[in-house]
Amino acid sequence: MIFDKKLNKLCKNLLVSVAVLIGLGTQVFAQDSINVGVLRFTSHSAAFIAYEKGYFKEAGLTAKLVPFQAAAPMAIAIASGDIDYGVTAISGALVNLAEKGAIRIIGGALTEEKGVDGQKILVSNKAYASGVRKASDLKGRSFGLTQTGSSFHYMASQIAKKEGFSSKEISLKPLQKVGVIIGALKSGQIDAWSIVPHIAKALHKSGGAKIIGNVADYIDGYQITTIFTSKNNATNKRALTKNFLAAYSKGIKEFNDVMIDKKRGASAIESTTRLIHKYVYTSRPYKKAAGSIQAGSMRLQPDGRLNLTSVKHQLDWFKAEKLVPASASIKNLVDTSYVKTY
Amino acid sequence: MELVLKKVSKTYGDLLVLNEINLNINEGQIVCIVGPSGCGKSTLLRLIGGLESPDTGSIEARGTPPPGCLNPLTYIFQDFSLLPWRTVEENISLVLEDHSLSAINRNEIIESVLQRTKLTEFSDRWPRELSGGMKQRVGIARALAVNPSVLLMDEPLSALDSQTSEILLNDLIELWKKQNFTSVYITHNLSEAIRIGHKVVVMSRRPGEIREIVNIDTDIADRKIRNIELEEHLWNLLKDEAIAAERELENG
Amino acid sequence: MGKKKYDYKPVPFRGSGFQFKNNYWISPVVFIIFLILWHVGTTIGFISNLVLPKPAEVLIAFHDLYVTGDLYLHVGASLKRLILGWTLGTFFGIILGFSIGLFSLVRAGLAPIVAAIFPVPKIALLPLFIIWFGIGELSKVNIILFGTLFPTIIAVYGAIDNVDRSLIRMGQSFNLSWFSITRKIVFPASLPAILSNFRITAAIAIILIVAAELIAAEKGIGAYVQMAGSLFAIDRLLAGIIILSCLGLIANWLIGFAEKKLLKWRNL
Ligand SMILES: Nc1ncnc2c1ncn2[C@@H]1O[C@H](COP(=O)(O)OP(=O)(O)OP(=O)(O)O)[C@@H](O)[C@H]1O
Ligand SMILES: [Mg+2]
Repeated sequence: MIFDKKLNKLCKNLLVSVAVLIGLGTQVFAQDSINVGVLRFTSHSAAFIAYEKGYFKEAGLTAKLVPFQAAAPMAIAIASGDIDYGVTAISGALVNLAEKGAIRIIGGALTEEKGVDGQKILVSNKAYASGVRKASDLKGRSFGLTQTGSSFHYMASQIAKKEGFSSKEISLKPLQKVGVIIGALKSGQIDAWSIVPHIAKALHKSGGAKIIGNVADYIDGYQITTIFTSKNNATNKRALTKNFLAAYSKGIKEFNDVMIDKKRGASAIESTTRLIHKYVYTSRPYKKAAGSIQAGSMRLQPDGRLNLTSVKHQLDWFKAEKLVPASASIKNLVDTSYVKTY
Repeated sequence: MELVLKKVSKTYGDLLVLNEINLNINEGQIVCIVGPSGCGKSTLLRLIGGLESPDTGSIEARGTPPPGCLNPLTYIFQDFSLLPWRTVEENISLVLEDHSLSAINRNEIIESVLQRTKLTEFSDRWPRELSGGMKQRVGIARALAVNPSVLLMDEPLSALDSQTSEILLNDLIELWKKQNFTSVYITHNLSEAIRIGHKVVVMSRRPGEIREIVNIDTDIADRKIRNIELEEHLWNLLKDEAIAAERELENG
Repeated sequence: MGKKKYDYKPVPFRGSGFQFKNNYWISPVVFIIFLILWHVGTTIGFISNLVLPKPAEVLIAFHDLYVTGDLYLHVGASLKRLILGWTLGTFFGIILGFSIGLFSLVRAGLAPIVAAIFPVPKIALLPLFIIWFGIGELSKVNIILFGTLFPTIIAVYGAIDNVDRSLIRMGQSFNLSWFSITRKIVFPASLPAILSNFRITAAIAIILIVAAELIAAEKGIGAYVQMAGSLFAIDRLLAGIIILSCLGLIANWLIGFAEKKLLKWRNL
């Protein structure tokens, strides 16, 4: 059972956290060795590059990459201290964990900019045929989510808000997995969805669904993912955390230079794509994976800068939707002392 | 009604259980069958009642059942076979429900058989609330309810203690005196056979054959509690068979 | 031989234990002690707030559910699916179970298929159910239907196999019709096993409602628990779990009541 597995993991992690939080012995880190949680997405490439190119080592860190299947278990693993640093979308779970004093956001990663290819709004062929051509037509339609309180949920309500109707007028369908959402969209069981550009384009091209808009038009400077760590690391291991951010930023810069701004030429793109392919789309041959990796590359925040305005906006939305306690504060969520915020 | 068995044989798989049994069961007679364990007595009774069919030979019922007979060949079981989810009354009602009887008629029958078996005041009890003897009375009442022409009884008293079985045996004798029913009565108890049988059929060990048929001419009403002489005669017939049968079972 | 002196002492009683007495007061006391330990542990911080919320927080989660009216919406949505799925699964299960139990032709045809499908975790079929039945109510009800159907079939025909043959013989010896034997002997004899199977299938249904509501459910206790889990809102998670276990208790009580009514001939 999907849910059971999660619960199991949760319990296991929680048990570890008991040990840590009760204070049975002080938390022990081997000499500056860290565990970095990653998902096998192109948006986590900065970690792959920093690891493969030895940027962590240069910063005096013995790093280990720990892959996760989903964002939520990674957040819990950081809360429990099994993992030191990670990158994930801002979600209700993240805010709730921060409120409980378990984690802190220390920087930004994936971001949405006007003019740069970003997340797309998709509708099913069935909905398209019945007249859904622009986001304002989504009123009264169904929208696919992974889970309540996920970034998809946030995007759906922001689209509704800007188009002038309540998010209650969209019927939200939590389907747990991206694969299931794609299936439901293709078969017309849900009307709409929003997703990163390369998946959206692939669906559009194959005729599985139609792109009808850009998320960037509805959310200003959307800070999609953030770099985060445990509260303990953020407050008590400042040197370690700074070193990690420095190495990570180096990875970000290289990724942006090579893959987004294409400053270093085709051979650099190829070699970086090969590096990323060690982690992403590993089950596909390089030739097939390369296109998806390159199409799926979106800008990461230089130096791990953080759009605090966007984070605040998201936090307010979580509160308004009663997904997190009304008392949740930005202070508990973000440690602004590490990177530039705006 | 009269039953005639001619050269009846029965095998289970490779096991010959009954071998060429010839037997007459006359109208109004009680035929007792005795024999060592496993010789095929119960099998024979199932054949007579039509619950199983013989491999060879024939079993014939001659004559017409009495008027009002709902089930000519009726069993009384060793383990009573009462439905635990039906009360005494409902257990008897069970065997009447498939016949087109008016409710009044049915209740009359039930009342009458309950009275004959001294169960009237227990009519709404669950079987679990009854003693073994009373359960068998219900079994007898149920059999009487269908007004049978032949009663087939397979060790009807052997699950009861000796006092209770003595009482029930007397009840059966009383009943026979009133109704003169025809019956096949299987038992292990020789004195029981001598008390109630017009004929005692002694069977040999498996494959079951008829070893001797002892006719008892004394009127059932006039018999003494025990007839040691006859019992000894029957016992001598059975002893060797019983010992041999016992050995066979032991040696597999 | 010298005279032996005898000691007179009472024979010691050795027959105690292995018997359950009705100690009604124990379970509330254990429950209250558990609550106090929970409260104290979470208040002084011995139990981290990541591991368990305070009991009061769970109570607040309940209160929120109640005042917003969501409690009725969630419980109502789940109950509808549970009752529909369980009733249909049980209904078809009993019919198929009886067919397999009574007709050798049906048994030969269906029993192997049932045995093959029975152990398949119905949750593994979830993606298939979405394709077959969509993401609406149909797939949710069907998950529960299928989850209860197979155990019921197997329990019912197992119960029929276990009906005392001598009672059926008795019925035949009195010339009862096939239908009478089935209705008056086979059915009541298998009823205890069927009813005790209800306890199991009710629990299965409640387990499956959480899985069923993973898929596109906006309302329902399973959806609520799932949402609370994905938000890491463990106070709400616990509130949802408590509601689920209450549903289980109520189902159990109802079945116990049905047993008392229908099986009063069993001295229990
Ligand atoms: N349905 C059956 N299938 C196979 N074998 C059977 C069956 N019924 C009886 N037998 C065998 O047939 C033999 C005779 O059995 P039966 O029950 O008729 O003996 P019995 O004389 O009534 O014995 P008892 O005095 O112990 O009641 C036994 O060896 C028994 O194992
Ligand atoms: Mg026998």
